[in-house]
Amino acid sequence: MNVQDRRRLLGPPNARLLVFGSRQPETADTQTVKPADEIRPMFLKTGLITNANGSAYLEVDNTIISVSVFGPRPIRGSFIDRASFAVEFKFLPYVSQPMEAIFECHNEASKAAASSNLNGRSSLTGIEHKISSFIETSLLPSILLEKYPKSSIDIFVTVIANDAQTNLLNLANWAVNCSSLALVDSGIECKDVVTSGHVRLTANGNAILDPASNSERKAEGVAEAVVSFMNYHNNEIVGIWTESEGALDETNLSSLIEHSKKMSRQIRAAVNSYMLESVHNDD
Amino acid sequence: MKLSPAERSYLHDSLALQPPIRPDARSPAQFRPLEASISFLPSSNGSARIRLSDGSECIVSVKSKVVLTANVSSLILVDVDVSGYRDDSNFVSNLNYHLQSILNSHFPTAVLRLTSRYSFKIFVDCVVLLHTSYPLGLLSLTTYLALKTTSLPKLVSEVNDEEVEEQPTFSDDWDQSTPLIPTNSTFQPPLLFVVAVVGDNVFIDPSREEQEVSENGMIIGYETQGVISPFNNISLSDREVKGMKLLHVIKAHLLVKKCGEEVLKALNSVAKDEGGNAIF
Repeated sequence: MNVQDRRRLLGPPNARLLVFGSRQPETADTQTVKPADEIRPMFLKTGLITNANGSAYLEVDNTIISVSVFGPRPIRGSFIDRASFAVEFKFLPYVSQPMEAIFECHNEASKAAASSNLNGRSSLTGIEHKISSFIETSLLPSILLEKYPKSSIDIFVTVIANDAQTNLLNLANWAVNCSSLALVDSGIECKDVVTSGHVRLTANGNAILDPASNSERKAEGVAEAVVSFMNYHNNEIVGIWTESEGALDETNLSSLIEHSKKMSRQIRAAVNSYMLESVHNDD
Repeated sequence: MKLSPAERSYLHDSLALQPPIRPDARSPAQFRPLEASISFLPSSNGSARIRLSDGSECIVSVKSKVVLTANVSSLILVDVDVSGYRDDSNFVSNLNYHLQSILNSHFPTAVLRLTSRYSFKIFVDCVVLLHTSYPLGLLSLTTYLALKTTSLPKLVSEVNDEEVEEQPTFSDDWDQSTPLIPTNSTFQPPLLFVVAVVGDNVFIDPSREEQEVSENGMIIGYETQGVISPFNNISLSDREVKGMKLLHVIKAHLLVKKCGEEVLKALNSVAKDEGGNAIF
């Protein structure tokens, strides 16, 4: 006589219980404190975007930036004796923007329009415009625009990932560095490769290179700046953007510039070695 | 406006001389003459208009609204409108950014608190009717005057509404209104100056022609305590933009420090003058 239980759904006869491995004890959140005079390690790669004339990709911690350069492209319309140059800096729609709250995205109407459009907003926010023009101002002196009459050069910077805590100036700094590498990749004639540095001065006069988060700023920061340089062109300052809590005197200003120069030279060295390596790899 | 190569070279060389010669014979720290009027818009809390001799004109109106403090992120909102430019253009957005960020970081919003729940929110609306040179300096001067002349209705209800929720009520006597910035306070609204770099010289308030030949430009903030952020650079022309030296930056800093105080004094004397409220 068959005594199999037909009323219940039984598992296969050789079934065994799932056994989970013992859970690892959670390691304490060991956030290594970066020494004040060091830059965080970065990852650089050029030429990932194949349909652009030049492109660069950069990762620093949780910040990921991608830049594509289009140009020199012919323009329609009347003759111009030098290329027109434009930069567009954009956060991808899901990336939270620093200082979003202060610059309310203008009005409710534009917000409503943005939410009805699946691709997010159609126009740039105030912060995006500001960083766009900072990158444009920084790169403009280096490009030999008069070599390209009747053409336009466009740079599109996209922030693919970013921490909400990331400082606005820090982001601008990496965006400039990445854009100038993309410009080199595009083969557009330049006077020099622009690199920038980001420095925060503390109340006791110390300088922190590449400060990533805003958290210490309120506590101990007195002033910070991102300054772009043409390092091999008499260290000319091509872009400067400072934020300070109180008054900004000359000594603070020149020390900000000096330390940013130091950082920009370190980044320049990294960019140079990357470019040399990529030339060797091509051979 | 396009300058011919000869005009450009002449202008550039005379501005790069030691001492420099500006086309309108100004000194490097001298502003263009301007005409300012205040408190002429009947329906706003404060207003100002500045006109320059070249026809540039800017009107700023300050309005206020009572809001629940917890619901808003910022108690000041700036809106800039420049005739001939789209509101979402880079040009207008950057003007807006500079005004908004300097007011956010250097305006004591504590004066806008009404009760423990409610605050005034200030709307600064700027219109540039005509401009020839970069209008940020003009906008900033006008905004300063408008904020100085802003007065807010006097609160007559209880200040402490923590236990009993109460809508704030105001005195309907406009003569009782309190100025936004009390006359005895040490605080003054922040100002922004535009500086152009030509050769080794720096110039405040560059005119259109000076901008054309400038190699770089700077936007510098100023308050009673001295130079404040922003200290940014900006390309005022799209031709022959060059990098700056540390010397230029320091020179620009000194220049703003030197003339900032005088500008504040001049603007304050305009703001005190109650008589000039008929402009039409």
